[in-house]
Amino acid sequence: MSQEPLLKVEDLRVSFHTYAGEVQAVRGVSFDVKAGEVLAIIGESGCGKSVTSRAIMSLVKAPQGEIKKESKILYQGKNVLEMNKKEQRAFRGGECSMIFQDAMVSLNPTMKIGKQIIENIVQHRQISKKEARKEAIQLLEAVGIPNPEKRIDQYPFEFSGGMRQRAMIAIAIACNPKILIADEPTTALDVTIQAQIMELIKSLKEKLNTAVILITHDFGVVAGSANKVAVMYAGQVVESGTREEIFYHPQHPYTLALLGSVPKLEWKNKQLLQTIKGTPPDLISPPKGCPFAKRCNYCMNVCLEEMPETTDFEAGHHTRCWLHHEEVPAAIKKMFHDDRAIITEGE
Amino acid sequence: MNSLEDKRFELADQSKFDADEVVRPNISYWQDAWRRLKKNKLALLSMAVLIVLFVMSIIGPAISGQNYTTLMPEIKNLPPGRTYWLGTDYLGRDLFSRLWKGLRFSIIVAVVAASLKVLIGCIYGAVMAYLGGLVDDVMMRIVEVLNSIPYLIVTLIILVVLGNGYLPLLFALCITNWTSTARMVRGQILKLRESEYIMASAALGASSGRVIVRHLIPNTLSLLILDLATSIPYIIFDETVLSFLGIGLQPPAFSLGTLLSAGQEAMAFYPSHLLYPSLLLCLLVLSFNILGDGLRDALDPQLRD
Amino acid sequence: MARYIVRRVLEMLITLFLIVTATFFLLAAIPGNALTSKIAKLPQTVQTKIIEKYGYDKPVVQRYVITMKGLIVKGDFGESIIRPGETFAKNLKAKLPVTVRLSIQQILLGVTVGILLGIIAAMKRGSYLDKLILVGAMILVSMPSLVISLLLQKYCANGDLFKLPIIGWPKGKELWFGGWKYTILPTIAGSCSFIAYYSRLTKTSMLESINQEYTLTARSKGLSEVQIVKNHVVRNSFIPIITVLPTTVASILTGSLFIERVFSIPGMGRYYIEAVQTRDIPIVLAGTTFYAVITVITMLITDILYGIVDPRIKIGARK
Repeated sequence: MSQEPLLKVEDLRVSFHTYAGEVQAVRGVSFDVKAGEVLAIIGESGCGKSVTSRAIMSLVKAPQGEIKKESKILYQGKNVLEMNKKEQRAFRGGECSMIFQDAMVSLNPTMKIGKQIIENIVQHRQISKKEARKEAIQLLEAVGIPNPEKRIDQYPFEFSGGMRQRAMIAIAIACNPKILIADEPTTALDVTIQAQIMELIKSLKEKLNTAVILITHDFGVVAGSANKVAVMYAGQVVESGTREEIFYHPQHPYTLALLGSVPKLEWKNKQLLQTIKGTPPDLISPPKGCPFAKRCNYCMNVCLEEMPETTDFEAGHHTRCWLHHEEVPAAIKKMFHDDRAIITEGE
Repeated sequence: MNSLEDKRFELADQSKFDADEVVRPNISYWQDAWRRLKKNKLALLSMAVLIVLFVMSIIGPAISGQNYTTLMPEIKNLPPGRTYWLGTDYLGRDLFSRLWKGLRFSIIVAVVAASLKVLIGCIYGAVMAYLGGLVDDVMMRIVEVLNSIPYLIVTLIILVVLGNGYLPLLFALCITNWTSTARMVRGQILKLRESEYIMASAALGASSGRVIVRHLIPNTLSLLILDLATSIPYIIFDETVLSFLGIGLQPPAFSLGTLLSAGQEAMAFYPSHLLYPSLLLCLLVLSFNILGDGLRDALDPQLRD
Repeated sequence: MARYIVRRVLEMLITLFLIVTATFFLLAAIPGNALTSKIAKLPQTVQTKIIEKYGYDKPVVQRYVITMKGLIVKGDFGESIIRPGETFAKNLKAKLPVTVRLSIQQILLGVTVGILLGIIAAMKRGSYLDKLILVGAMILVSMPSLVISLLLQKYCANGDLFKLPIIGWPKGKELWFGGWKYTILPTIAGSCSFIAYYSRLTKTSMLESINQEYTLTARSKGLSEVQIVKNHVVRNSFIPIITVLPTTVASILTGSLFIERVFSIPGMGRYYIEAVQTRDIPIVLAGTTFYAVITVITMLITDILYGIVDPRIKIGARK
């Protein structure tokens, strides 16, 4: 895993201009993915994870949405944001494609499934419509849709929820993209179907050596599939690292709180399940200190005043939290470590 | 200073901040709507124009103080001048006063007929939605039958039966117009009744009275206001057409439509007789339309962008 | 599908029957009709004779039965009182083509230009062109067709700007095609409101469709803006446009009432209005039924179109 990253996002900043003011939805996000790797971006609703994925696909709509100038999205070293329209279109769908959350509304209700797949193939490859149709049937088969010859001429409303999501995936992988962004691909589905869809994404990733960016709010989904995890909060990545690091050595109280809010079978004491008090800050006027400060159990005076710097740990594990500052009293650090031991080890 | 520096890495006093605090104040739907409307300069302007038109339609005829009813053939078709600001018509009546008087009638008809339409439609629709079953079917069939003829024609027939005049015209205009409101109200109530938040509120033990007051009315009110605002221009159109055709009003009663009709006859030699009522009518309808658009943008949260 | 249409046609017939009945009894309630004013100056005995001849001495219900019988047997509502010997059906032959041509021209001009402007406005949203269309449509929608007709007649006919005739309509060979100078002004007068209405409707409905998730999917496939609009937005945004088709036909019909009057066009609208003004009962009854038939057929066509545009709606499988 020492090759060059396929996609590198640096200091991504996205704002939306609304009636009430400028909402700073994404505030300086950086991460990268390599081929064959799964990066999970996790966070609660409104933390900017979907906006981040849309920014990569240049789907942030002007004039309300604005990607700030300092942002960089480098695909194989080339900044997607500076590409001309034609290059951007070739990138979208051809090199990088996206699976949306709710296939019910993300598929065109008045267009046959087959046509929606063929459309993508014809757009990016020099291929006749007839051949594209053959490929579309193969794709439907590959994503596990029975009777693809018949299904290809049906409309989305004739598909079940899980089938629709499979069709959505068929559209996304139609051009063998190098990067696949899955924006909460399983949120709208039943639990049993969820697992099947995640398995499908994983097996396609293996087959095509695709880089996958998985947007989710569900640690269960992350645990089963991700290599790397980035935890987002209030438009920032508060912690990132390998799956093991994030699950067993979280360094940020928010990550810990998220982990604490997922029930685990190993826990002996079932009372442990926690909720995170309060609500995320208003991104129209984000706080000057750490955005999580007011919901944090270990909040110090400095947290309310200043933004923490990034602290690096071994193996590419980063976090933005004051707890790791050298001046922090041992007692507070110990408090955090004790709580962490309880949650991650289930003592 | 030093002590503050020292305290940097001490735990903050959590009791001092409320984690649930919301930085922006919560504002109600109506406050928000009003704020949006206030931001829409054009809508405010149209509201001002409407107020001016209303006031002028009341005091306009009195301002010039000239006769606008008796026939005085010796001063017919005068050009605009000091006594008759906009001149006189083919029977020697003051055009300035007649314009405002005609406007007054057009406004009265429009506002009254539109309000009645909304009221009748609202009651009819609510009854349909609440009673359901056979009653709903029959009442809906009546609506469908009424909708199977262009409603200006229904209005015509009713006017033929009732004869011309203020009251028949008013009655005829609102008796045919309410079907769209009734359908809308019925649809809205049925939709809301199925909606999960109403079910939730009923499940939590809210009485049906409370459901109506807290949920149904507020959620339907904005639709009704919009309906009222958008139907006024149409009713003005219809009234004008009927009066123009000589079916709505009987002389000496007159409205902008009657003035248009007279204007058409005089237009070859006195184009101003056609132009003044045309302009006034367009200004009135334009103001209502802009205000209606502004209201829609302000009242429909789904259109926010 | 065939079954659905049969059911709908039956429903339509019931509706029409109700309309005819209601109209008949409403008209029967008028204190004076064309006949009473026509014979007012004649001696009493002659009056009675004439009233008997037209059957107005019989009770209402009996008259109703006779009328309905005539409708079923002869397909007509009887002779005009004003012009003895003439029936509505006879006049239809001469007057219908006039109104139909005027209506088609109005729809073609109004709806196509309106939809085109709406598409342009939606695609170039926020631009000056969009704002221009928006303002233009607002002004047009606020100008009653009646006012537009009168102003066009005053300022565009017979003189100052264009040498178009003030009134009249092409006859004979030119009834269906040709004689354009007569038809230009009435067509424009009637289509202005459609241009305004359809451009606004198309724009809103396109924007609605553009804001849907499936448009985002289409964009994520790397399709160009034109492809997205052509393949995804247009069809979905046509659904609400089809819904207003009956309204359009209704306003064409009512528009013909005064446009034909303003420009002295010998069509259905003017004929009907004359009948209404003179209280010519059989003709009013026939005309009303005629308008109802057209409206009802439009509604049926709309429903069928609905099923074609939106695959989710299966014709015949509703309720």
